[in-house]
Amino acid sequence: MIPFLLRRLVSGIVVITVVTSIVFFLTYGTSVQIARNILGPSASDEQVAILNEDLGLDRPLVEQYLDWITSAARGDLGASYFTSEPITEALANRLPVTFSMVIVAVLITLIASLALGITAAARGGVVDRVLQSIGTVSYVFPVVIIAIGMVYLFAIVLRWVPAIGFVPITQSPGHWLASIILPSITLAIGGIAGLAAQIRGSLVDELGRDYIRTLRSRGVSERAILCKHALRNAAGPALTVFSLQFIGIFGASLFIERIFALPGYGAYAMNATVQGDFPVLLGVTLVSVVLVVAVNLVVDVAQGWLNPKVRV
Amino acid sequence: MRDSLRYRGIGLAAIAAIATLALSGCSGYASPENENHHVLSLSARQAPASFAIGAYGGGEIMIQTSIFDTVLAFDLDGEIVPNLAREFEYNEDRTILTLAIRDDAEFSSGEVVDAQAVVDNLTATMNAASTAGLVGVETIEATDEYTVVVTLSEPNASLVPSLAGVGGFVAEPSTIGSETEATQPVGSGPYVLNRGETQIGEKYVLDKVEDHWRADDYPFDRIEISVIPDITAAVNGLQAGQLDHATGLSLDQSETLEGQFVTGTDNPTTWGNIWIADREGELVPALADVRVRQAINMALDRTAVERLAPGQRHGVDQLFSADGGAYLPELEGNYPYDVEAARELIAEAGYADGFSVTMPSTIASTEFEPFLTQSLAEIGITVNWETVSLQDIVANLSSKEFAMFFFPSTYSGSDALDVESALGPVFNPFGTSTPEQTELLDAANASGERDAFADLNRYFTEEAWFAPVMASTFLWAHSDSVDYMPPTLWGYSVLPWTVAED
Repeated sequence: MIPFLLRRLVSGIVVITVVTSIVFFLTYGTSVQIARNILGPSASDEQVAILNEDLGLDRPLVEQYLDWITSAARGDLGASYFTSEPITEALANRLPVTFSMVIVAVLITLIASLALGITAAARGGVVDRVLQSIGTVSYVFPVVIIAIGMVYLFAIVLRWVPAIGFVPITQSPGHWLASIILPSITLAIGGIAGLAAQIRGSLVDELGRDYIRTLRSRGVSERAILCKHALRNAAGPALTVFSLQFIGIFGASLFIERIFALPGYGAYAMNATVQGDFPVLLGVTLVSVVLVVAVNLVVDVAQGWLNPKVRV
Repeated sequence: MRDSLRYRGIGLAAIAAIATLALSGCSGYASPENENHHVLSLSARQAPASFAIGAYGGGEIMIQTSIFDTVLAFDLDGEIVPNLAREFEYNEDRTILTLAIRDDAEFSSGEVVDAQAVVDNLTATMNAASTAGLVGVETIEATDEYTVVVTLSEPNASLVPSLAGVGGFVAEPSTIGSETEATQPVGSGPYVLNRGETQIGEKYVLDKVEDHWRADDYPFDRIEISVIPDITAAVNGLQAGQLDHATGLSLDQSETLEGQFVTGTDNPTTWGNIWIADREGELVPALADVRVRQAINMALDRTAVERLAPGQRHGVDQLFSADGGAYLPELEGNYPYDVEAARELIAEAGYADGFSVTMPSTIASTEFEPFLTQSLAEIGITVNWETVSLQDIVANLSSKEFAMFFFPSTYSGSDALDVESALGPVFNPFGTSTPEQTELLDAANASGERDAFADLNRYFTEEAWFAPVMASTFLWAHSDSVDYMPPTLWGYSVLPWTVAED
């Protein structure tokens, strides 16, 4: 297991390095006049040159890159060009908002998908068809419409939850849950159908196999067959789908944060992109890539645990 | 049986979650408010880029004017009034401005605001690379503990309005140039930034300074400004009782909210213009001919622009705001929409076969591009749109890359500042000037009268230096817990909001 883990770790570090390098050279290598944009049109060419020097932008691109990557390795991502806010600090403030929403969305996705997938596979017949229909409808229905509908009903009419904003869990767990439940459900809805369909399909396949028939003939209970044997063997493909959906949910949070005015990572990334705040852009890219690599690593480990053949 | 127990467990968990939400929702999500504690909850489209003196880079200025006292101020009617300077007076030739600073103002750090503090701030602003203000200032001196004298190299009417705006912010001098000045402002204004509850770039919480010299004019004990770029989210926040005011509504949104909320229209905030920059014909020779520039003005059916966003735009044909002294009603309709007459002018100028021009396609122009393309095509001008990213706009416009371009500009509240912007490096990249224009500008700067820039306006219009298209305004809605009086200068301060009378 350890060599398997090491291989995954090394490949993860390579992916992180390659992606951040590409983003660095794509941004800093363009003709965008960073210092001029920061200072505005009134600044003289001399003032622009001074700022370029202060920011180290007058150095060769490779030297700038090496400087950035060594600082990043030490946990120093620099400061925003426009607000001077340290990026590590800014990310520390914003990531809890996004993680709160994403983690709750993932939990909802997992619980709902497992419940729907297992029920559909185990019961079959009308229940299966109804659940599949519900899944298809939720899959094709635009989540933005669902979000707006939920805001109208639960935030504006009933006033059970807020329409906008975020409350930290340390301030009030109840209000924290209330502030993220609608965005989390919105994020989860699209993923539930796909994951439930995957779980159902894999389970139906497994339940038709010879070893299941053997287990039944030995008198093993249906619940044990389903949960201990079939589900474990069906989990591999579902895990892969789940890891893709987790990353998809994280990406979709960029837009959902805007709808619910949540001060999260997505809003931060969006502003940096619009402004051309390159250090922030690199910081959020690094976090995104690390997250994707970490999720894939966890899924790989889980796959290895479920199926020892994968470790080879 | 076991299965049913398991499902029951899931059901109980769901009920518990709903109960938690319902219980937490019982207290509501509107801002805490009672008879003695008033909270104003607003939204802002864009966060202030920086609180550093001289580094203002856009965003809601009302956050800064709440934290920093300005040397002078704009009142709700757009007039410039004393503020930190209780009196201000020019000498006869308007090259020396004497400011008498109040002796009862104090920074939130406890330090006294005196003449030297004002000098330190104005000097920092003057020397800053990013602030277009305090143009032509030669010296700034404290002549006694509460008197500041600003000396200009030549009269410049933009000085006084600059001191009422970003050029007049006064921060605690020890913070100027510090590492924290961009994010931790220390001012002497009516509110102080609550650092614990503020999240820079996302939400700004301001607590009232009870012993501020103008505290009686600020009825709210606390102001919360959330940065919400999406207007639909802001409207949701208003409807859910989380915001007191939402601005920038579409006509549909305004009509939907009518009846439930108080709705209305602000004064014009920005104006859109075809900046005919290449008036000497360096890139496009045709633009050097005044008849061509006049023809461009006559090719625009400005009423069509109004139809693009009903209730939020109206056609304009002058550089200056109708609220200012330079605006001349007699110039309205100076260039009526007349394609035939415009074609004749173009032909007279020797361009009967037309010509082409490349204009930047930016986030600010895309909506208007079909209108502009069609309007100009009707008089033989072919527009080629070249996409320019938002990050590159300023650099591209100011580096003579485009002979003309459509771009909005914000009304500054001052004719002098509007002219300074129009003749500055972004909107006048070719640095066009003529002896007559220079003479009129100098006379306006030395005048001191409200209509000082009217003659310059007449010159700009007759020479068709610009092709103004439309002015934009905002539709707003607010809850019945606050009152709002649309100010002449939009978004300048929190003074337009008051606690609603029962």
